Amino acid sequence: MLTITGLSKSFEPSKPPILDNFNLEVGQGEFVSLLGPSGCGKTTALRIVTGLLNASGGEVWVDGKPSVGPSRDKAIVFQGFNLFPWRTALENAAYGLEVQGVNKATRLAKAKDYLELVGLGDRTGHYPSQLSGGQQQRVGLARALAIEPKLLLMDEPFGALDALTRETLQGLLMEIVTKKGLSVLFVTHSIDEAIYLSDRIAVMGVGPGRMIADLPVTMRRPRNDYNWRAEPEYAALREHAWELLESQLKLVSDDA
Amino acid sequence: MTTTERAGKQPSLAVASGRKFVDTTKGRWTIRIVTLVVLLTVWQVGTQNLNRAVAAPPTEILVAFWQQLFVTGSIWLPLVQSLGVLFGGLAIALVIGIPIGVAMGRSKTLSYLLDPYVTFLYALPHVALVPLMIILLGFDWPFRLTYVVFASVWLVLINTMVGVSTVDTAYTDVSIAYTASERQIIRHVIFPAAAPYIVAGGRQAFSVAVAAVVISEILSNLAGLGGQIQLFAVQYLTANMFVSIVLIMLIAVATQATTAWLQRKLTPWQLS
Amino acid sequence: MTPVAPKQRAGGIRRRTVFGNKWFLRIASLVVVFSVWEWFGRDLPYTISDPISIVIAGSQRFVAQILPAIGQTLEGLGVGFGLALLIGIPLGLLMSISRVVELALSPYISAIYATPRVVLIPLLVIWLGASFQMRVGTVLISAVFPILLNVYLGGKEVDRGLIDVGRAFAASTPRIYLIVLRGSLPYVFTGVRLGLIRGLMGIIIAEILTASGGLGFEISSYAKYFHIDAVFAVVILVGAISMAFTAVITLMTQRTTTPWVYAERRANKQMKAVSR
Repeated sequence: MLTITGLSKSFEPSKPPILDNFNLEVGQGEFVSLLGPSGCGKTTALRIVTGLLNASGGEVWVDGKPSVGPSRDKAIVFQGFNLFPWRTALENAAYGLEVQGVNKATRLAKAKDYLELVGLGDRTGHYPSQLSGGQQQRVGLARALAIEPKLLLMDEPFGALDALTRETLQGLLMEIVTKKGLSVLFVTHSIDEAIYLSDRIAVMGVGPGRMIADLPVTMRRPRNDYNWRAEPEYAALREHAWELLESQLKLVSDDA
Repeated sequence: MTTTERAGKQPSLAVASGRKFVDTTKGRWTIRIVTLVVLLTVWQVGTQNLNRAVAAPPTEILVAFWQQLFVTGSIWLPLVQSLGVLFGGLAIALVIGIPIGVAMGRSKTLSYLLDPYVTFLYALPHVALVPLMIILLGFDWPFRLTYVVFASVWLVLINTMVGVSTVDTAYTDVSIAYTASERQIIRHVIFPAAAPYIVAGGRQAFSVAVAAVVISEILSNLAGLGGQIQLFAVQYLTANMFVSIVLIMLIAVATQATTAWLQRKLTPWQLS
Repeated sequence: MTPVAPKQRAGGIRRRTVFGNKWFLRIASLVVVFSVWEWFGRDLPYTISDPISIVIAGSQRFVAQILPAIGQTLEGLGVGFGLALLIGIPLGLLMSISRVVELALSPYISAIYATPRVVLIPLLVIWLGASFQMRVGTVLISAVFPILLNVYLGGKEVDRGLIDVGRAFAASTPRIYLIVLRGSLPYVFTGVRLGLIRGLMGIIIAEILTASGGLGFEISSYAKYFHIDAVFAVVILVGAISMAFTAVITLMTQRTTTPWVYAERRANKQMKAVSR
C-alpha cells in the first residue's frame, strides 16, 4: 500500500539532513508503527507522505501510484486534534467529505455514522470546547475515516491524552482498523504502544533519520481481549526495541 | 514521476517546511528595501508630469521640507503649537482621568452613578462636538486644548477603572488586615496592580490625542501643523502640504514607539 | 493612622441592596442630572441649553432636515465602509498567510495606521472637491486600516494546525483562506467595529470641513446660527447611532465566537417549551 524509497529531507543545506535514505513499506491491511526517539524525523517522514511537506529526494508510492501531495487515498490524524473550534463534532467529522464536494445531506449522514463508530453518536452537536481531549481525538479519527482512505496516517495521536483515555482509544483504533482492514502508518515514541497495535515495528534512528530495524509482531491482532503483555514475545520485543532506542539516544547525547 | 520532480507544484502557501530566504535577516531587509525603492520610484515617476496642484514628487517634497525647516523657518511655530496642545492636553487628561478612574474602580456605587455618561461620551464621535466647542470656547488654543482633553480622557478613565476594579481582593485584604488606610491601599496595592492598564490607557489616549490635535487645527483657526496643511491646501501647494503631513506621520510613529517602549519599561511584567 | 472600615464588597449588606442596585443608581443619576440641567439650562439657551428644548428642537427638525441628513451620512458611510471591507479583508488575509507580503507591507501599514488619516482629508478635497466621492474616500481611508490590521493580526493567531487540516485534505486555496478567516472572526469584528466608528468620524469631519450636507453639516450650521438646542439634539443622535453600531457588532461577535452559548440557550428554551 505504501512504499517509501530513498527518502531524504534537508531543511537547511548547511546542516545535516533530518532524513537520509529512509525506506519503508506498509503492506495492504498492515499496521506499521514508526518508532523512534524525539527528533529522529518520524513526524517529518509522515508529513511528507501526507503531502504537507516536500521531500528533498526519494520517492513515495501509495497504492501503486506516486504520491506527490495530499490525496483521497490517505488521511491523517493529528496529535493536536486540530478540530475547527467553530464547528460541531458532526461538522468537523464531515470536513474531509465537504472538501471533496460531497453534498450536505450525504456527508452529514456519513459523518454521523463514523461518529457512532467511534462512540460519539450522542455528542454530534457538541463543539470541541465542550468535549474532552479523548472525545476530540475520536472526532479527529472519525474525520479521517469518513473519507474512507486506503492509508491511515497517525502522528502520535494519543500523545496528548492521559493514560486511561489513551488505552481506551488504542483499543477502539485496533478494533476499527482490524474490522475495516485498513493499512496504517502510526508514529509513536512509546514501545508499548507500538507492540500493542502493530504488525510490524519500524525502528528509526537519529542523525539522520533512517530505518535501523524492522521488527515483526506476530501476536494475534486485535490484542484487546487477552493479556498480551504476558506473552514471551512481548518481553523479547520490548527489550530489543529498548536496546535499539537506547543506542540512538546515546548518539544524540554524545553529539549534544 | 518522483516526489522531487513534482515538488514545485505544491500549494503555494507559506509552510513551515524550513527556513526560506524570507526568514533570513538579509532576506527581510532585501524585501523591505526593494518595496521602499519601488514605492518611491512609482511615486516619483507618477507625479513627475502631473499638475503640482494634484500631487508632488518626493524630490520636491524634500526641497519643501528644507525650505520650511531651515530657509523660511515657517514650520517651527506650528510645530510647537501642535506639540504644545498635544502634550498639554494629554497631561490634563491623565490628571483628570486617573483619579476619577481609580475612584470609579474602587467604588461600585460611584461607577454605577457615572457610567451612563462615561459610556455615552466615550462612544460619541468627538468631532460632533467641535462646532459646539468653537461657539463656546472660540477658535484658538483654549478650544483645541479642551477638545484634545475631551477626546482622550475617556480612554484613560476607562482603562484605569478596569485596571483598578480587577485588582485581586486578596491583595487588598492583606492591606486591610494590616490596618492600612484607603490612601495607603491605593498607593501600595492598587497603583502597582493596575499600572499595566493605566499605562495601556495612556498609550491609547496618546494616539487619539494626536488625531484630535490635527482635527481641531484643520477645523478651526488653522494654527499648528494641521492648520499648515489646510493653509497650503487652499493654495494648491501640495508639496508644502506634504511636509506637514509627513511631520505628523513622524510624530505619530514616534509617539507610538515611545509609548510602547515606556510601557515595556514601566510594566515589564504585563500583558499587551 | 486610624483604620478605616473595610470596603463594602459588591454583594453588600441587605440594607444596601435596594440603593446599591445598579439600575437604580444609574436611573437615579440620570434623573438628577437631567433635572439639574433643565433647571439651569433654561436660562442659558446659547451655552448649554436644556433637555426639554433639545427634544423639541430635535423633533421639529427631524423629518425635514435631520432624517435626510442621516440618510446622506449613512449613504457615504455605507459605500465607503463596503469598499473598506472589500479591500481590507482580502489584503489582511494575504498578509497573514504570505511572509513576503507581510514583510513588504507591514512597516507602511503600521505607519499609516498610527497616523491620523484626517491629515489626508484636505488632499482628498483637492482631488475630489466637496463631492460624494470625497466623502466615500474619507470613510475608506479611515476604515480600511483598522480592518486590514485586525484581519492580519487575527490571521496570524489562527492555529497553524487548522491550516494543516485543510491542506491534508487537499483543500483548494480559497478554502484555506476561508479557514483562516473563520478562525480570526473575533479580530475581524474588532476591526469592523473600529473601522465603522472611525469611518463615521471621518465622514463627519469631511462634512463639517466642506459644509456638504449630512449630519456634520447640520451640526455646524445649527451652531453657526446659535440653535444650540438643535446642535445638542443632533450630537446626541450621532452618539446613539455610534452606540447602536457597536452593540450590533458586539452581538455578532458573540454569536460567532461562542456559538455553543446560543446553542445551549436554544436547547434550554426548547426543553422548557416541551415540558409545559
